[in-house]
Amino acid sequence: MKVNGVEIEETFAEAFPMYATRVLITAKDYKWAEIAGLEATGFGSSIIMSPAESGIEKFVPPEKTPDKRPGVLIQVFQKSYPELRQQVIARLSQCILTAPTTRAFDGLPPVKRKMRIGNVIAMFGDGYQRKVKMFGRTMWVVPVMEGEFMIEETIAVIKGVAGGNVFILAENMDAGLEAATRAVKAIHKYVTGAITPFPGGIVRSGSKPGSMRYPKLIATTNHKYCPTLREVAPDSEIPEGVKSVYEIVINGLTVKAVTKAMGVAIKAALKAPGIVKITAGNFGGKLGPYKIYLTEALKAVEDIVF
Amino acid sequence: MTQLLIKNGFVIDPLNNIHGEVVDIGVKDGKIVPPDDVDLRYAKVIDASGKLVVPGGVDVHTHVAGPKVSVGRLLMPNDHYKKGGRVVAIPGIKRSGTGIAVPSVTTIGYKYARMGWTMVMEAASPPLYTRHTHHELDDTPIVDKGVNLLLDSNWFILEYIEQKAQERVNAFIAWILEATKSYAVKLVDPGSAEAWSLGVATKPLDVDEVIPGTSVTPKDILVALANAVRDLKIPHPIHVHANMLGIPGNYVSTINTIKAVADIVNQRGLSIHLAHIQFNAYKGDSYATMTSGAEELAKLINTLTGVTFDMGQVVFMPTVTMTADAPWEYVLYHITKWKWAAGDVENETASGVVPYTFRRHIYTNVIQWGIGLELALLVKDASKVVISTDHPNAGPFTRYPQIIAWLMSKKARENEMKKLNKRALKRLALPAIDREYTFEEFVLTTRVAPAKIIGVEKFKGHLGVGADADIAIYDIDPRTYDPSRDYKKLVKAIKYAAYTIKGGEIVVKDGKIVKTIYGRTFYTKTRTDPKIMHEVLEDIKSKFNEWYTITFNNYTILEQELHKPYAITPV
Amino acid sequence: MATLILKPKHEFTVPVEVEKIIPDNIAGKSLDEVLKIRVYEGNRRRTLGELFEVSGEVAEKPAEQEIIFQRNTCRIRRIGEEMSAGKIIIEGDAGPLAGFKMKGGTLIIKGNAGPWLGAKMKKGFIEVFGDAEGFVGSKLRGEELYSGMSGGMIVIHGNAGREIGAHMAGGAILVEGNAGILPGMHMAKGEIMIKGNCAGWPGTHMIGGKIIILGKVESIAPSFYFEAVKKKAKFVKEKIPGPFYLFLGDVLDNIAIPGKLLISVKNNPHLKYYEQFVEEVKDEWVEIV
Ligand SMILES: [Zn+2]
Repeated sequence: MKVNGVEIEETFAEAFPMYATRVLITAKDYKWAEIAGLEATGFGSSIIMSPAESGIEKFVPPEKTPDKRPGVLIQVFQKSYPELRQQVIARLSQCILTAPTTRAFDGLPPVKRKMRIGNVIAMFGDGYQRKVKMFGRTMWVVPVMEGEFMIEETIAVIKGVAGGNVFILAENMDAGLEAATRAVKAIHKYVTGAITPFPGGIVRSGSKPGSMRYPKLIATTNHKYCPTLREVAPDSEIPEGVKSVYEIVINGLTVKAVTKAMGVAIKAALKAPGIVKITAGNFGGKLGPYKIYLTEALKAVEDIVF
Repeated sequence: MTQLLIKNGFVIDPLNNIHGEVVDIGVKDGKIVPPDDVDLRYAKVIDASGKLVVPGGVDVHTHVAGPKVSVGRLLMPNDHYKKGGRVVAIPGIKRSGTGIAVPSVTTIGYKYARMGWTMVMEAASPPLYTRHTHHELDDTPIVDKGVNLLLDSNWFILEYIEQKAQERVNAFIAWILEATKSYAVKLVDPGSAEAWSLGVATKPLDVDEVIPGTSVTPKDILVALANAVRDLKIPHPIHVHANMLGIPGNYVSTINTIKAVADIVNQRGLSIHLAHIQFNAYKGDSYATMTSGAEELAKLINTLTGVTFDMGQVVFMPTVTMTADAPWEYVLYHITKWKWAAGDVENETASGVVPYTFRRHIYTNVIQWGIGLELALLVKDASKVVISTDHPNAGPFTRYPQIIAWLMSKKARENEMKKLNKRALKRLALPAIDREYTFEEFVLTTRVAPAKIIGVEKFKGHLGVGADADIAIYDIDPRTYDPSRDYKKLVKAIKYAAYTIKGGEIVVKDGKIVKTIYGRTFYTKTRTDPKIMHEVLEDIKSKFNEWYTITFNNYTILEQELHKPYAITPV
Repeated sequence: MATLILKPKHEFTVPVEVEKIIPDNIAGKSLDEVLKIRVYEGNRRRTLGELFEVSGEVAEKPAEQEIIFQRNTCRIRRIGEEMSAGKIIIEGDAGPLAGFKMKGGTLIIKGNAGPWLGAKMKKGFIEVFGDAEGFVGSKLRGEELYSGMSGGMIVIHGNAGREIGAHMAGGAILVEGNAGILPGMHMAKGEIMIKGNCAGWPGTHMIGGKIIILGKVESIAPSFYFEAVKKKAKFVKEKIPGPFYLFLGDVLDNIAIPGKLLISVKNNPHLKYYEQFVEEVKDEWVEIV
């Protein structure tokens, strides 16, 4: 398929289920909400080496948060339930508890499966903590030097979707980066329920699982899409004229959110000049239960105009 | 009683100035007598021509009885069904037992006797459980034995030291040694067990650190107990497992320990015996960079006459560590992450048991192996060195023959080093040491030195007239045989003695047990100022009601509870 | 195949250890030599000929040797220890440690088996037509973690005792009857399937491997977490129709690569509580709270 003269490959992104959670962090103003959110989602790029995959999803206006203060939604992904719980406890206690003026709420109240997190972190109160009903939630109040920190007792855990992706093949680095930046911006603007866990939402070093040379490595460079290996690697998939490739990795709470995010990303990237081709990464469909076709993704965002 | 005449043997007896001569030895009524006193009509004559005749071996530091040894057996069922789970029967006897690292009680005595050892000292017994220790020692055949009593974290002593009441410390020690029928004063990582039992310390204490909850430092304990041992004329100097055992960089603590008590010399010129010094001679700041502190320690020990030590030599095999140094076992458990048993003895001490395997490819283990040998070879006077593996901590005592071979033969060391971690060997001084022990030094380190340290050199550790007839005869002839070449023969000869004679009876012949007898249990009976003793006893009695789960009267072990008690009264 | 038949000459009142009576030791020997192989009766050393009536023939190669124990065999222990080929048939009950450290071949027990059946087994096949006592395919007391059975297959047509497959590191155990508590305790690898009920706590401390239970399970350790409902399971390449509750654990020992617990949905209505956790996330839930 060709849109605006850019080829969109007939392929799909392969996604996996992964344990996920969403936490709503509110603060006195957007500035502190953002700082807390950024801190809590730090070092959360890829599960290959990071302790979790995490990212900021969205800012939430005061009227939509339980305590009527500006907030930020973050998501954390992990392979197993206990590891996710460990990560959420670590991140909330080290990054949110410590950040000025913040409070932490469950970001998915209707979900039935909950992790008990608040009561664990509230032990920081050393016996002075107390449980209250407030904002329509069960909250733990922890006395801290600033005043009081509040955290919801339970936080939802679901099977999220990880591994949605879009490859942007560009004429040069600047064009590629511009397109990728626009794509990430659009995801944040138009999509709810999806995050882009990598730095600035963009991956410049996409990887393939395993190694052809070093048996113990879990992941190595995706040599098929390295422009400098076009002549070297026999299975290179770089078309002529491509000098740079960026990947946007998308995790989300539902397949729909990830699909939508991929569609928005493609649409936004197409608007940028100097793009040669859009494609996606998969492992032949053998590993992941979710196949998200690029064409379907585009169809899902037909009604979004920008 | 049996009379024996050992003819034509090649005798080494340094205490009687026999440095390798053919001398006949007579035995009568369990004592050594001039050969002429033996009535040949009734005597059995042993032809020892071409054989080495030496006094029976003495082990100054070994863990063979008591609660933690039993816990070690419980913790290591796998040690007891090795070799297909068969019972290890000792040839020549009906009773059997199992176990390699922690053998069954009975087999311990037999195994010692087969190597020619006739006296062992249980290295550490908590006072409250010493009755248990005696029960096991009473069931340990052949060898003579004694108990070193753990006294460093005892609440009474800590309190008296806080009050700076040295005479009360003395009286208490006099009482408790007699009450528990024990022989000597043992300090294990002084003060650490107390700090650890209280839950305030998670690592061993250094010599100058104040024990939490008190105003006492380990150094104060060392000095107070050394003074007590001197004042009470206890034959054995303080027997110290120094602070910071097992922790890299601890050779400094060991030096500080020695310096703290070097001036406090007992009536026989000794000030301190350092147990398994290998574990306390580490340099460096982590296990990855650990090196040997043997040179520094050897230099210091060479200048002091009153300091002795046993090696705590590592042998490469699976074993069980057991010590009253509970905080160290806590640290070790977190390294091995397999099994751990910990114990708290009310008001007195604590302990821990952790299985451990010394491996040839592990850097740290090879450094440990090297340190033991370096120390034994760098200290010039072999009568300051005693062979030990701190059984079973660094390996079982059944490996003594191998250690003797390493000391007597450079080739034996070189052959072992071929199998070891190369990086570790590069950082050891051992490969450059050429010294080889002579047969006389072998006798010094295994017979004379331990007997002198224990303070029984009047009747053990030599073959002069009047000594106990504890004799080992090995099937080697030092005149024709060179151990540095064919060390394997030496190992075999010591492993299975040609004859072991204990108390005038032949108990081992050609490596087989031929007779079961039971040795004596030595204990110290000292005297102190009766007025202070009375005061201290009143104090003990009142505190027993308050603190102990058993009453004062039940605590005291009576002489008739032991099979063969033998009191040593200092003069 | 050459068959050697062993019948006890008298009723054994103490344990008899026959760890040397395996095809590897017998094949290629003359019958006279075989009669002289030592066995233990209690603490007494005996020869095979003293304790057993031996008939039949001896094969050239271990793989062609069959040994049959007949009559009262329940006090005979360590049958087939470290055997690597051939076949041993016990027509009655077997004592403890049958097939201990087995390296290959076949061991068939027509009666019941004592404890530690196939302990530390490496390869081969064991079939029991009666019941087996505890510690099937496990390690001995006090040994290193995960040093139990590491390969081969054990099939028990009756019930099994407690702690089967403890410290298992490979291979498979199939119990057609019920099993006692703690099957697959400290399991690292391998598969266990129990067609009957389990008395409780399957897979405690497991760090890998798979346990399939088709009957009722009294209780599951709280350190397992619920993962999904699976339509089918796989046991040694065979498909087992479900559905199954899939639990992962044991979180106490390893949170990264957990073991699997597959428990029949049909026979365990008391686990229905977990089903609420498999809900799909509805898209409207994602909309901002
Ligand atoms: Zn010791």
